[in-house]
Amino acid sequence: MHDDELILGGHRFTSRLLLGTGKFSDAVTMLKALDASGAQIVTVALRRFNRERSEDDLAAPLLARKHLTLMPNTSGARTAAEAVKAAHIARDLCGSPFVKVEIHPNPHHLMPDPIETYEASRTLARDGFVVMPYMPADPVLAKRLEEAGCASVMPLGSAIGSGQGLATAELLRLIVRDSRIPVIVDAGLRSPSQAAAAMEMGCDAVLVNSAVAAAGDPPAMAAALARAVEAGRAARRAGLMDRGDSASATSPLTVFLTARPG
Amino acid sequence: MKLTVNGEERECRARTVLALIEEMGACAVRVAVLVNDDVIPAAQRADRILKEGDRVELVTFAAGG
Repeated sequence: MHDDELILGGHRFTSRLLLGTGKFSDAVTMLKALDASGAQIVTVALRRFNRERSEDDLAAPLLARKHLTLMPNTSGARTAAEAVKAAHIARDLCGSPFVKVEIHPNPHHLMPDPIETYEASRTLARDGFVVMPYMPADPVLAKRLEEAGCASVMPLGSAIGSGQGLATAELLRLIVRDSRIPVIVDAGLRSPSQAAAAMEMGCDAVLVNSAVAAAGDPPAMAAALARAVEAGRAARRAGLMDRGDSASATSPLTVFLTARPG
Repeated sequence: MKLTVNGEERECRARTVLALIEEMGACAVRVAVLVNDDVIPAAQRADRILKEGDRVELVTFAAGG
C-alpha cells in the first residue's frame, strides 16, 4: 500500500518486514529467502577479511539488488566506542547511512547493553547516520533514544534466536503508545502469527532472522512472514473489534424452535 | 616491512595500502581498510604509504541479523 509507507530517517519503504542474513545454510538459500520476503532492508555484520573465506562475498549479490537498503549491524562491539567505529567502517564499505546499533556483551543471553547503546546511538545520530538501535523493551529508554535522534527504536520480543516470541508484549504496547518514531520488533520471533500480532498491537515493522533461516523451508517461511506482516498491519488499520469480558450475541436469540409436547 | 595485518604480524612487500590489499588477495572483494584505527577510503589507498609497525585491518561484510 503506497499510502502506508514506513519512513525511517526520511527514507521511504513499502515493506514492513526486515530480514537478517545470518544462520542460513548457504548463500543461495539466503538470497532465495530474501527475494521471497519482499524485504527492502537487510542486515549484515562485519568480519575481518580472510583470503580462505573469500567465497563468502556477501556484498556483491546484495548490492546487485537495487531495491535493497543494507543495514550493517555493530555486532561484536562491546562498547559504544567499538560500535561507533564499526558503523564508520560499515558506511565506508557500502555507503548506506543505516546502522543497527547492536551491543550485547554476554553471549548467553545476548541482551543489549542499554548504556552503551544509548551512547553509541547519540554519537552516530550526530554523525549523520540513520540510527536503528536494538534495545531492551524499556519504554523509558525508547524515549531517550528517540530524543537522541534515532530513526526508530528496535525493542526485542525475546532473546535473539530463542523463538520465544513476544515475551515483552506488554512493554511493547507501552513503547508503541508513546513513541513518535517507528517501533520495529527485533529478535525472538518464531512464527508468522507472532509477526502479525506485533503489527496488530501497533508496531510499525518486524525484523526476523532465525525465524526464516532456521525454518524447514526458509523461502516459504519468508513468504509466509511477509503475508503475516501485511495482514497484521491491515488489521491494525482496519480497527480490531473491542475485547469483552462476556459474550455479545451475533445472531438473534428469539425462541421459536421449541419442540411440541407429545 | 613488518606490519600487523588483521591481528597477525607479517613481513609484507607492499608499501601502499592499495598494494597491501593486492598482496593479501583482497582485490576482488569489497573491503574496508583501517591503518592504526583510521578508515582509509578507496580514493586514498593508492597514495597512503605504510610505515614499519603499522596496524592494518581489512574488514568485509559477514552474514548476520
